[in-house]
Amino acid sequence: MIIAKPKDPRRPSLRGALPVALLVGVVVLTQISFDMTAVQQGMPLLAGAFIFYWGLYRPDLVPHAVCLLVGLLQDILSGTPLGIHALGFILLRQMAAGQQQFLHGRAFHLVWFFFGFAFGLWALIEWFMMSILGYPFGMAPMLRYVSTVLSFPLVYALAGRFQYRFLRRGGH
Amino acid sequence: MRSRSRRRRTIVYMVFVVVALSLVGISTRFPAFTEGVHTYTVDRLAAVYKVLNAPVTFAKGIGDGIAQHFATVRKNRDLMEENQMLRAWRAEAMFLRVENDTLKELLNMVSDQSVTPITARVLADANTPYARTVLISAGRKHGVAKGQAVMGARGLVGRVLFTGQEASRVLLLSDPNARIPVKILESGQQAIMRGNNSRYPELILTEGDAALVAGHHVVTSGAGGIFAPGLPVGVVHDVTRVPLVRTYNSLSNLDLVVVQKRDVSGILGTEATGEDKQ
Repeated sequence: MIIAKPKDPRRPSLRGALPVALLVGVVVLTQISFDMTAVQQGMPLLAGAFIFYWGLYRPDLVPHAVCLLVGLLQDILSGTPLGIHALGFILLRQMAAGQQQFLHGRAFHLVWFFFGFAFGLWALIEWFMMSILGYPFGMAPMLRYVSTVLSFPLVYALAGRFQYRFLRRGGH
Repeated sequence: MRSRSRRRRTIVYMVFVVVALSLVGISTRFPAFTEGVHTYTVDRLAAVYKVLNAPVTFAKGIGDGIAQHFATVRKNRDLMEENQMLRAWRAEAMFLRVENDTLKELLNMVSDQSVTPITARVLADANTPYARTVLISAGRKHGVAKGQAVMGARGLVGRVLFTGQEASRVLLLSDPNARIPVKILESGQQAIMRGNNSRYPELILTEGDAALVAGHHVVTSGAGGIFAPGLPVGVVHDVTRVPLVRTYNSLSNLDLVVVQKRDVSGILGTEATGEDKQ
């Protein structure tokens, strides 16, 4: 008789790498040229919304090192100084992970509100840093803030489905 | 035990924040470092973007095809009219060319370096509110070099910022780091055109106090030697406050661009490029 050994939840698995693959995919795909640079300047920072989600529900799958690397990839592809998005992703992940106890099991609109707050804080820090580096202020950062916050319900639903389908605690 | 683990997590978090901040400092202080990292990654990702862009280009082609089909009759009539006008212009241009060559010969003038066009497709747009750059599908392998002028169908759109083997990054005229030496065609006034993250770059006069007139044409002055003189840039758009330029070529809807292959390595290596960071 063969007795199946229980899985060690801390054991790294291929499924555990799926959120990272998803993040890299989102960063790469959102840079594709659609001949709409004007619109793309205000496009949502989807990777930031995804990082917030994983930081809240599965921070073990998106450690700080992953946030740093994904942020660097975003910086390289978007042509911003290296470290700007990396810092933003680390902060978003930390803010989400830090509120796990408070936000778990709460209504979605509270999570959404907190994301708006966290992303707004990050957008302010980014704007401050870019101003120091000599970049002028325009409407685009505000547009991106609004579009990212508005896109959060979609990201939340997609990431939730993804987590349910591939990363259920028992199945992982 | 729990507080110990919490403290450890906080320390790890702080370390990564410091690393990210250090990277910001390093990349702005040492642009060569940024350039190396960009070039390496962009080269590796160029092939991915070529594949990812294929369906977008295909869908666009279908859309354009349908739109063109419905506009054929009207477009044909417009083209015939335009053709008539261009024939007249061509005759005049031929005459001016001959006259220009003769005058240059008389003055023993050394001709400008020859320019070879390299056509490339825009692979990726900078999806950020701060930087205005695009990734194009031509690199060192095709003869693209740092500093070369990049043209759209109607005029200048930017210059090559980094080059990889397979792809290059182009700094658009609207990027806050872009500084282009230009002149006003009608008055001959020299100026610097500065990107300001908007559709209309600013004009800073460096020579001549005469008032700018909206509608006057702006071309590259050739100062510094990076750009060939006389490349069409745009028209003076607004002179009420800071003079602005409306570029001939839209900087928002770039699909195909032409890199002006011209040796600028000596110039970029020894003289100021007229640009800020990066």
